[in-house]
Amino acid sequence: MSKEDLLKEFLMDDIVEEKGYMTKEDVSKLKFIDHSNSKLISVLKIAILGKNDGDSVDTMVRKLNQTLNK
Amino acid sequence: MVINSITLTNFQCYFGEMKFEFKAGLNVVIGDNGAGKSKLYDAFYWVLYDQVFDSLNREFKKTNQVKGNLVSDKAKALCEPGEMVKTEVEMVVYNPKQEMEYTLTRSYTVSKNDSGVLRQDPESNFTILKTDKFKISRPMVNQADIASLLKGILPDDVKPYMWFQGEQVDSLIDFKNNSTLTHAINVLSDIREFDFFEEVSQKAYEAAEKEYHRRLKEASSDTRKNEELENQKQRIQRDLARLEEEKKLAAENLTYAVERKDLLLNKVDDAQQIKSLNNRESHLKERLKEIDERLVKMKAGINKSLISRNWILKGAGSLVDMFAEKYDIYSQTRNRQEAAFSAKKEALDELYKEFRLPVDVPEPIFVKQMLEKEHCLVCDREAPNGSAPYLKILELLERSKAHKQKPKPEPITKHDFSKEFKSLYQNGLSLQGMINHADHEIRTAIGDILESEAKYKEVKGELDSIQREIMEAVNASSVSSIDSSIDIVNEFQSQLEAIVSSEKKLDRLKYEAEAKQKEGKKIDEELKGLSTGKISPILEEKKNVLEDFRDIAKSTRERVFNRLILQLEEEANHHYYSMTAENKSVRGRIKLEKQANGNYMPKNLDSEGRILTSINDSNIILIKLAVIMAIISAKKSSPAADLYPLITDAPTSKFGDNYAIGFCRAASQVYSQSIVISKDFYNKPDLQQRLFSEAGEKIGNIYLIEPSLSEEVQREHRDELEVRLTKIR
Repeated sequence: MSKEDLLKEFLMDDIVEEKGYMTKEDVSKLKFIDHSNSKLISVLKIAILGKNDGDSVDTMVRKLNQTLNK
Repeated sequence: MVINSITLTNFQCYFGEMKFEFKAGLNVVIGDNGAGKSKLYDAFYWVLYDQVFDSLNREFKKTNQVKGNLVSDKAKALCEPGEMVKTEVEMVVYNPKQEMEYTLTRSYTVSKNDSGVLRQDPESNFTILKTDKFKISRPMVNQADIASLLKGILPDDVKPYMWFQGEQVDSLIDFKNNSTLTHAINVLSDIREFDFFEEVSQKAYEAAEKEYHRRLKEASSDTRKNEELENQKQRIQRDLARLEEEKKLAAENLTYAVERKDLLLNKVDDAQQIKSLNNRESHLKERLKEIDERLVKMKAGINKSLISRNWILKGAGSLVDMFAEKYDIYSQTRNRQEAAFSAKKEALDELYKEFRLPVDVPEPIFVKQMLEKEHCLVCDREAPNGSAPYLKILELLERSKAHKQKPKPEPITKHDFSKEFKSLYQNGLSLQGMINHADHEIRTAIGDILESEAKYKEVKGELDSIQREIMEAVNASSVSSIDSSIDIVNEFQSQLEAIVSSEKKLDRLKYEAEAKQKEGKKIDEELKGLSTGKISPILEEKKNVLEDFRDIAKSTRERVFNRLILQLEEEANHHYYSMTAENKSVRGRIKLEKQANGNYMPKNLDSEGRILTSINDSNIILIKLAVIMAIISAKKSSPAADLYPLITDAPTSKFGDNYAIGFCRAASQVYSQSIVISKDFYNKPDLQQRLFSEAGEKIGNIYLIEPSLSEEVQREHRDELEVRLTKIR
């Protein structure tokens, strides 16, 4: 599964629309490289990239924490 | 990875050098029993894992355990003292992405010393040569690189699903263990990467929540209250954890009960029938026992009644009649005689009445003197001989003689038993009633016995028939015995009860957990209300975003998994239909059913969605195979199907011929490369032709392997054994 497919897979979840992050229509148009101000999308991208890079769970938690503290 | 070739040199029954070349698509090696098929499978295994399968002990053994047995007997026999024999397997694999070819070679050597004694090396030797697209080769020496390459050819967790022998298929998915399908899905699909996201999101959220609560505590206006609420919250969390554990346990119990119920479902009807037959049998046995006991009692009663109820006189009635008849004749005869005697006596008495003198008066002696003297001494007168007075005197003498000869009644028998006869007759008359009653009683008793014996025979016949029915039912069903049928029915009933009770428990636990969660949220609100300072919006947002990430990761994993299941179900049915196309027995449809504990199990349903109970064993194995193929083929990007070749020895050995084509057809559609070692096509040119035509463009190379021994005398010696290899396509 590509990074983009994976990102869309997460964002297509009903919770995303319910919580007002994005509509499913917007998600379908989204590209992985697109810039977004949504912290949720940032979190998802960091997690996907970390998975691809083979990061450990602890490293990932640390990276996410750092990102969300900004 | 694609396996380009495998070359066997003096490996087991392969004498000399034998090279099999393979292409992408379906490759088939055909051979009869004993032709060397399993040894070829062993060669793949040996070169990669340094192990061969010991068919005698049903286990894999390392080179250092089998040693010289790896080497061809013929090669060893031809080895002269002072020489050595090398057995070698060389496998060439190609990585199309890297455009790299790897030659994996494993060798093992034995030698004969000058005395001809065989010396065996302790271990095999393994080398890998890496050749790039420019044909530049170099050996691989780094152990980490070698391990990575071997994992790339076939990872350990994928191995059971890609390299297997026919007899192992059944265990790939255990229908009794509901986690094996989930395990296979996890191993063969990319669902596992979602587990990583779930774990990361959970840990990140927990850390954020902890931080958030720490800040809340720091900013609290009432530390004591805050602490109290925190303690309450911890209690709630402990309760929630406990409820979660209980839910898991209840779900496991429910799953187990449903599984057992489903498993018993195809037996319970038979078991129920056998149990009810068994109940009837027990009832009949009871009745038979009762009748038998009654019969024994009745027969014993007859003996007793012979004396106590005078049954011994049975049949004596006619004797009494006969005696009465004879006695009647006797009496009549006697009466007649007595009458005659009386008449005679009366006549004599009348006669005597005519005389004035009584008998013997005068005494006969004087009468004789009177006759001699011809003189009557009574009246003192002359009585000359021949005169009237003389004759009168003579008459007196005659009368005396006649009186002496007075008639007596003549006896009827020699001895006079008239009294006894009369007594017997009278006794007979008094017994007659008793005898008649005994006859009636005996007739009634014998009638009862006969009736009971007839009943016994009837019940026995019924019992025999029921026992035959039970035998037939047991033989025709999947139930092994009467006892097990009783167990099955009882267990089925108890599992139904367990399902109901587990479902109720789950509902209750769910309700309790919801109540606790509400309570927890209320405490969170209270804690927030105690805070005097403002909690950093960044922290609040972090907590919220990570909570959403956690929920999304969990929900996405579930959604992807459920979608995969639907896809698998469709794919599995596609392969299942393809593999069973030639067989006309009932096959049903595969349904991957979710269990209460979240695992999935393959079920075989009929067109109305009921579990198919009469499916044959081959189809059950094919369902497993179809599910494995589905997992691999469900996604075109599946790493297993794309990267790993299927190598299987006698995959359809447990099925009939008509499954072989179906299996090969499905394999050619699923795996980018498959090597099927099979005897199903041996000596079957029609089946081979169908294989070529059905696999079409996806057909790779087809080989025929045969033992070279032909003469009977040679067949006794393995020293002559070698394999003849023919490429037939």
